[in-house]
Amino acid sequence: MQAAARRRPTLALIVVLSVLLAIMSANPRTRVEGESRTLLGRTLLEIVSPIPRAVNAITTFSSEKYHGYLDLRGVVEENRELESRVTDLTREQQGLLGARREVAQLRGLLGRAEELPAPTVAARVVMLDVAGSFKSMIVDAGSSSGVDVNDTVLDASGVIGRVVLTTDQLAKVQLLVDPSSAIGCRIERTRRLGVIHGNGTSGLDLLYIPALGDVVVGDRIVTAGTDGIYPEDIPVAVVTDVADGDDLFRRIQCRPLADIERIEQVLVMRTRKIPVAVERYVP
Amino acid sequence: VRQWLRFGIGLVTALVLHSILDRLAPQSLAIIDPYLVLVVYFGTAGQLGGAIIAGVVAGFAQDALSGAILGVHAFSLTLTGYLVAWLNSRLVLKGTLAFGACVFAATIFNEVIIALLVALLVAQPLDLLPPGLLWKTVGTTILGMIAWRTVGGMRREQEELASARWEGR
Repeated sequence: MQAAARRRPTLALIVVLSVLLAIMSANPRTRVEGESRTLLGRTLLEIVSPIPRAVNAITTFSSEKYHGYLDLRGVVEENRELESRVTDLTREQQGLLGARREVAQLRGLLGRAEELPAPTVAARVVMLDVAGSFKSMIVDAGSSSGVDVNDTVLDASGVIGRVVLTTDQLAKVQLLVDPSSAIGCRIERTRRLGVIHGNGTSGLDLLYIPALGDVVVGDRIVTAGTDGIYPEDIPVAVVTDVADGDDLFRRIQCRPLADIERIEQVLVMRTRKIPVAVERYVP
Repeated sequence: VRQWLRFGIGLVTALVLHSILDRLAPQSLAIIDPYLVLVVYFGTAGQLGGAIIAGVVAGFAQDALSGAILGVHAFSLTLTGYLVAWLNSRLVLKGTLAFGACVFAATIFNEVIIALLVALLVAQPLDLLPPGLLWKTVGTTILGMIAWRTVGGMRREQEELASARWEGR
């Protein structure tokens, strides 16, 4: 009896680990095809998301108050009337500078949105996870805004990633620098096809370009529209290093065009999906 | 009940810390892991079943906010928590340095499990010693030792519980 009681936690551990392995194996990122919506993933995100959203709101509020205090601190010895005017003007100027920066960002996004072949939704970044093994971000537009799994996420510079999970108000985005991300692409200058793959840091690898293929540092990489997710001819990256590979292909490193660590606002492009029936058809 | 209430508070604290760091200094999350500290802390009570539940819950919370495959952190933290609890059911680790050593070893173990899972599930080359491992181990250990010193009252209670289990054997 005692031996059985002693074994119980070990049995529980084995059961729990087996269930977790089954959950992970069922995850679409461990497969070639399939969709990324899972009830468990969506529910967990719904449960824990109020905390980062609250922290986001509090830090924004505190930052605004703190900067307001700093603005006032330098003018305490000034004439009261002048002080008031200077403070007002400083505040107004800061507001205008902030507004100008935001207008520039939004204009860039709007300009990009007008060029795109599909309807877009603007969204603000709530969380950005670029430090771990997996690279992702959460944006404040979800299924209630029409955002769907596999929608393309981009900014004025180029592709940022794709939506892998949605809730009513939020969407989780797999960044293109994530090690399990791959995008069908082509070299803009030569139109040669390849696959761009996250290398787990902040860079990208361009794969399947033959050893004799024409590619030079500075070449721009655009989406090819061949992977059923990303529409064609959206800028993705620029080639930063070209070297001979160990086999038939070259070893090419790229840098994303989008400055991922500084992203504040993005566009989610509601792309036309390949029907599930077609995607899952296996002869 | 009090023990799980404390775990809940610890989990919310880890989520808040994760959210604040993500907002203010995203790169710092590469060098500290508050969820691991929470699970190791909980594991020091030496309760195997409790460590499993703590690992699953904290791991799923971490998975929900990160871009990881759902279950990766839950798996690694469950295994790590179980190992820490198993060790603490046989030894009584007392003091900040002992806890720091426990977090140090647990961080390396946890990262190795994650690397193995990633290699297994998404067919990536196995990299057991990634460049950031040392910094993450040191950062998480320091965070763990600070947390251990901060929650002194709770720590004594955990030690008493572990001692009682030891004496009851």
